[in-house]
Amino acid sequence: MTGPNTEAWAKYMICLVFLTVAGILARNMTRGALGRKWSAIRDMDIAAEIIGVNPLTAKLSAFAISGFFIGISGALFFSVYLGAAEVGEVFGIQKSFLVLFMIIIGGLGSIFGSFAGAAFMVLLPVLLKNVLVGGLGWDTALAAHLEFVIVGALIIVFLIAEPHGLAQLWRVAKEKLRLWPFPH
Amino acid sequence: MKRLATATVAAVMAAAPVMADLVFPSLSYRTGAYAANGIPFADGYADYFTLLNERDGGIGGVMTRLLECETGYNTEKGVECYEATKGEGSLVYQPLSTGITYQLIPKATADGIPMHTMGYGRTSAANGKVFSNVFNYPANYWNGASLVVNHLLDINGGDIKGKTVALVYHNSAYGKEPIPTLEALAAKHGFNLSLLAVDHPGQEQKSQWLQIRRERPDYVVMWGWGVMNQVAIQEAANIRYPMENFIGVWWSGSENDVLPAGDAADGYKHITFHNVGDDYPIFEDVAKYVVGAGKAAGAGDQVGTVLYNRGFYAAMLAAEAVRKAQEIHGVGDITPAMMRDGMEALEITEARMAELGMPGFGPSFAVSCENHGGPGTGAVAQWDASAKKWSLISDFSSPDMSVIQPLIDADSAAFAAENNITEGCN
Repeated sequence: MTGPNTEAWAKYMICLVFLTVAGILARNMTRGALGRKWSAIRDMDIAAEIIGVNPLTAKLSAFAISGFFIGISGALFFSVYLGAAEVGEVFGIQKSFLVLFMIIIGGLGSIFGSFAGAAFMVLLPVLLKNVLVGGLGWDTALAAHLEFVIVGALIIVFLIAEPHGLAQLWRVAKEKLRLWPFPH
Repeated sequence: MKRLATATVAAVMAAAPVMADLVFPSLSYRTGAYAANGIPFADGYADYFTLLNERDGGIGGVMTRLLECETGYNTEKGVECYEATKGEGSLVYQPLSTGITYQLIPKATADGIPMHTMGYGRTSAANGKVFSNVFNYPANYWNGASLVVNHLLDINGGDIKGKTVALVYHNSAYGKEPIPTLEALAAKHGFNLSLLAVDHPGQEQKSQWLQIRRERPDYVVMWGWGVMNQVAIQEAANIRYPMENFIGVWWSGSENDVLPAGDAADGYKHITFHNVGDDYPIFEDVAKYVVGAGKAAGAGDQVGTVLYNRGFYAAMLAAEAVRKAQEIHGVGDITPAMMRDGMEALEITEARMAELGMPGFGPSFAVSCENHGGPGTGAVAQWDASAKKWSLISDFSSPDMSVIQPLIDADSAAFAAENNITEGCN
């Protein structure tokens, strides 16, 4: 399942399996006691300490558990998706920025937000390239530069206007759609 | 529903039939720190195919199509561009990045698409018995390292024992390529090699050049690319390092590398595997059919510059390989496997180059299964800051293959062992 002879669908399936398991784990953890401790520390850590949440274990466990998920994703990214890693470039600051923007645009504090943000950040360049270079025939450099501009503008817009990101937009859209035209 | 189905079928049938064409993907970088050097190469590559389409109606009667994909010299994006374009019938990949090349070697071999990494990439790919789909004619990095040392020997009457040579290199797969060869040559000729790495993108070089100012090596050799070249030449001028002792590899010798330093860059040298200048008959055709007709890639202002010529030359070699493949297999619309065969049987003669309007543009050579790397000949070019021109100051000479060939054999054997490749020529 690694190596240049792997089919694309095989790579996708192996990552999907890992993603499903990790997603279920993450959702159950955030809805359980540990997750509530994390939310309490996030909202107001001094008040949480007062009601008996140990801030050290909560913060340390948050760091450790998220590090675990990130380790899985990094290993899959390198071995299944890329096949090899360019030292110094592949896990550099640019990659960190990309992940940060995925979370910000998707919505902080929401698991669905990470998915939405990741889909957005990965698909937007592809869409832009297909529309601008494939459809309109613009220069590839222009499309690459426009991508920077658009992503940057979106970060600013999301941080100011909608800090809960795409996840919140989706929640609000669902609410409004339930009034009309899909009441249930 | 039935009407919708028939309408869809009719629409698909009525769609224009796909014309046979020869697809050349161009993994270019017009953005990022390496854009200054990536743009002329990509322009030259694109313009040659435009010229063939406009003037000759394609190659062997089949039109060419260029697919440009922006990589930004980023390895990951390069691999994505490869995956995105390989399904279009791409005939040959020229990623113009050693990092991307390393990652594409196993993928291109698995997909059966040849790669032409002219003067860059994995040097040991010259051994075609192991690397069936990777070609790096007419010269590669270890040839380049040997050519630099040969030039140093020339200007020192054949003896450089005890001299110090500093290598300022881009801290990536590209910059590290010549180190084994230079170390072998240092052992053979008795000079001291000191290595100074410059991290991507190469804008911070003050500490490396301070060290050079302190140590005062006799010669400085540069393996840089993109903005690193311009900064290095400016820094060398700042510390008043004698420019005639500063030699760059072929990727560190373009007009936009020396122009920012102005007159202070006078005398800077680089080794090259093709000729320099813009007075070739083919450029008149380019002016008429491409730039004049408004079909130039990019701004159309790079014609005749070193990197434009190199991209042009790379496209010429690809087109000649297509012709060879069409000749071997007898079809006009070739597949990537046929292209690989054409590249392996390629022969470029001086007569053919003169016929194309590029007399003396590059070396005459023939590719074979054992040698995908060509002759490895090169010459030294020097920059004249007042005339703003490069001119050759030496003849084309051969590198020291007695040092290089064992290194190629060892490295390719290691690759074959690692990847379970059986050596062989079909």
